[in-house]
Amino acid sequence: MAEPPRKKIYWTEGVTRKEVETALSTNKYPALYRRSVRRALVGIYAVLIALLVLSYSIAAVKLSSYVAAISGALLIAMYLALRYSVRLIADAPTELLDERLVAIRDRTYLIAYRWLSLVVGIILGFAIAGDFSFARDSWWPLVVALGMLIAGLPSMILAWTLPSEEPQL
Amino acid sequence: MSRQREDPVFNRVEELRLERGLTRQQLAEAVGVHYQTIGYLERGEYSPSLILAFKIAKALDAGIPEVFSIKPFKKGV
Repeated sequence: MAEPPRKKIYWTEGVTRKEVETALSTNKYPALYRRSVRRALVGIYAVLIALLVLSYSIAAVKLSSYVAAISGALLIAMYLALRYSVRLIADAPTELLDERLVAIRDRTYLIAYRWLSLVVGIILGFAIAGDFSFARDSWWPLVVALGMLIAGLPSMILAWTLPSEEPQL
Repeated sequence: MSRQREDPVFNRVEELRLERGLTRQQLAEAVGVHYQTIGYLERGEYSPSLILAFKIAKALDAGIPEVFSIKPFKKGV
C-alpha cells in the first residue's frame, strides 16, 4: 500500500511541517530554551494580556486605544517568541513529534483546559455580577485578550514547566 | 503522568551508545526521536514504549534485556 502524501501545511494546528522540523532541530538562540528565559516570556505574556484587559477600563478613549494597540502588538510578538521557545511542541501535530513530546503536549492541554475553565468561570462571574456590557464600543480588547490567552495558554504552560534544555552531545 | 515514577525502567542506553561511538543525535536520528528524548531516557526520566525500546536495542545492536530492565543493572554487566 502506498504511503499517503506528507502534509506540508497543518491548517488546524496553524503550523507547517518545515517550521516544526526546523523548530525541533535548530540550535539557534540557545538562551530561548533556558527555563528562566521561558518563564520570563510567560510573565511578560501574562502582563500584556492584563494590560490589554485593563485598557478596557481606561476612561480616556484615546489613551485606552493606544494602550490596547501597543499591548496587542507586543502580545503578538511575545506569542511568536513563546511558541518558538517551546519548539512549537504545543502546536505541532502528532506525526511530527516523538512519543515523549506527544505525551508532554497532551498533558499540557489537560492542564491548559483546567486553567482555561477557571479563567472562563471568573470572567462569567464578573460578567454576571458586574456591569459588563457589549454595548460599549471598546470591548474588542477583552475579546482579543481572551483569544490570545486561549491561543497561548498551552505554550505558556509548557514554557513554565519544561526544564532547561541540555546541550546537544 | 507517573508511569515512570511507579514503574522505573532501568537502562544501559548511555553505556552502550558510548561503546558504539554514537552521539545522542546519531542515536536519536536512528530511532526517530528528538535528541533530548535520548537524554531523558539515559537519565531514567522517561520510560520508552515497547516499540521505541525495540528500535533502540536494534540501533545499539543489542537485545532488549541487555539494554532495558525493571531491576537495576549490576556494575560492569
